[in-house]
Amino acid sequence: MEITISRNSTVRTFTFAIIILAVIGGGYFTWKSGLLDSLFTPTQTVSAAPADEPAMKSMTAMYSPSGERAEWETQVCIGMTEKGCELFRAMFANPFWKSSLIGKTTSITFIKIADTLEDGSQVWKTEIADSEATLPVYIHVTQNEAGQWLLNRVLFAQEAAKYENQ
Amino acid sequence: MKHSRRLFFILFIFVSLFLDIAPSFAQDGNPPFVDPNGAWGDVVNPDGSINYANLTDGGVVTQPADWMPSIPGVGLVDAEYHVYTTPSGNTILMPTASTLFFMSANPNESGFNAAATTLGTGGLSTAEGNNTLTGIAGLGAWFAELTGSGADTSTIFPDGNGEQFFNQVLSGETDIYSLGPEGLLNFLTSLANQSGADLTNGDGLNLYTYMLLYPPGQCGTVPGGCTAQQLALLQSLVAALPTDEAPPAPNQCPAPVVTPGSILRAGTLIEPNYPLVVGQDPAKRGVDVSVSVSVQPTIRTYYTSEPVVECKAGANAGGVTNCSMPNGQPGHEKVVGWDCVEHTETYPECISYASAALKLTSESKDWILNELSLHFPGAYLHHPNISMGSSRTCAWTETFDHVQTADPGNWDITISGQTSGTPVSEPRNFGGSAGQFGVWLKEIAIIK
Repeated sequence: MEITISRNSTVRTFTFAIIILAVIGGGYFTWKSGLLDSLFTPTQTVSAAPADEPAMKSMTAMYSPSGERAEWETQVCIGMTEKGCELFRAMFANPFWKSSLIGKTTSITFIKIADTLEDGSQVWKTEIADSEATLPVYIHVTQNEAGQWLLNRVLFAQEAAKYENQ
Repeated sequence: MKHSRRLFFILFIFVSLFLDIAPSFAQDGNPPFVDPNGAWGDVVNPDGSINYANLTDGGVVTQPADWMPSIPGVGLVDAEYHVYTTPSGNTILMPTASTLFFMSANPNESGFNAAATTLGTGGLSTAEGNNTLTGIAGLGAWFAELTGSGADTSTIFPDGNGEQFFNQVLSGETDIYSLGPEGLLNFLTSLANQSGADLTNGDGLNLYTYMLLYPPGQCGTVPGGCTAQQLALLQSLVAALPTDEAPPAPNQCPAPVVTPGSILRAGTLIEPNYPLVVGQDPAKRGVDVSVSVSVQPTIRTYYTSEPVVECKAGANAGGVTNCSMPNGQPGHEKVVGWDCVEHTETYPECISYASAALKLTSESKDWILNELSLHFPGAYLHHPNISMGSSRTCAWTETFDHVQTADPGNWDITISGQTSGTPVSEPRNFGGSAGQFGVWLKEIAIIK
């Protein structure tokens, strides 16, 4: 009995095995690196002009309290989530209104995304500045259906320390 | 099981709202037994309802407290309590829901543990003289359920065990901020809804859940301080010292004075003595600058009225002798006057945030843009503001090497930030120049 090994069939088999291994290896790498998730997860990015996001406008209003308190609260809430506005009115508005910020004009600058949380919301690092000092302020923001970033709340100093030390 | 527990708490909230304020207090018994002769006998009727007619309403007290959360750039969120006093001089404190939570999370700092006795609603325990974990853990569980009624608790307590989380908070293993931004948002919204009811609806519809009782002797530590009624009671106790005649009235002592500690800032050029603009220096040496900032302790000075007692010969009107005269004869103590005794308390204060920068003075900017541009047409400002770094340490000292100063002239070393505040003083902002140095241009001998 004579066994004939064709050179072409050997090369074909070897090439096929290489391709199969490459597909399996590539799939494993894609799965391990999380690229697979990112392919099926809507991408959430900050727009090219973060200062125009409703969250930042709310921050500007929040750190520049003036005029009638009710109008100021409404102005702040325009760029907030419903729950964020609720919490702002109940817990944050009073300290802001009683603070030395009254009548001051404060500017807010977006610095970077400090964290992206499991629910898709993000923590942004911003910087507030008046004529005397600058201060980093971390905020929790959520994207609405229209893709705009809305402010949930300003993180307390005790929470911000975690991000500041990263 | 989870649904039935949630149903129970929803029913509980409904019942609480209809009954004005939730009337169940002790762990066992419905209505629970409240000893009419005990401290709570002044506060609670035999049917478990609060005897408001017997209480003097001190209103809502708000005050800064260092155990409450701090908003960057603003300061501490105020603690809020509704304060009542009983005819026997006890103070009853009813914190709002959010205040109560942060109080229980910081039981020593907030004075929660200083309360002689506490009374809670919703199946919580009553702890006489010792605020047990059982009561607070129950409170935590109640809050967890409360939050769960409006949000998915699994996002707040991934292990589904809010009670365990609050036990960990109380034992110091973790803190409330580990809930994360999204969990704390849901949680605080639920608390704030309860807290807000106090101010928006008046006294009738509050959902207070806990009462803390402080005896008259502790009224100085209660928010709002001692009432006139309590002061009178304290003075009557002092006046009960054995005496034949009415003692003199206590002195009116000065009010407490808080002296905030100085904020010490310093910015110094280390090397070189005569820095050259980096554009003219092939080695790009730049400058080495040292900054330091710290806060001296805040001092609170307060006065107490102390009785001056002398030993008078013989027995008092009651026939009691309780001291000896210099000649050895028996005598009795008599209050002959009052002294205002000064006390001081020292509160260390930290820097919560500080940043350092170099800023070219406005005079030097004018000089470059106006005078220097005559010699060097097109002269412009390269980099007149340079951020060097920041710190969140309590006291900050750091040297920044080879900072690249490209513009000639005088530079201010600025240090700005905020102090942490103390239990008796608010956080303070600081900023401005802490030192100055010159950067030289080869062709120009004089800088301005």
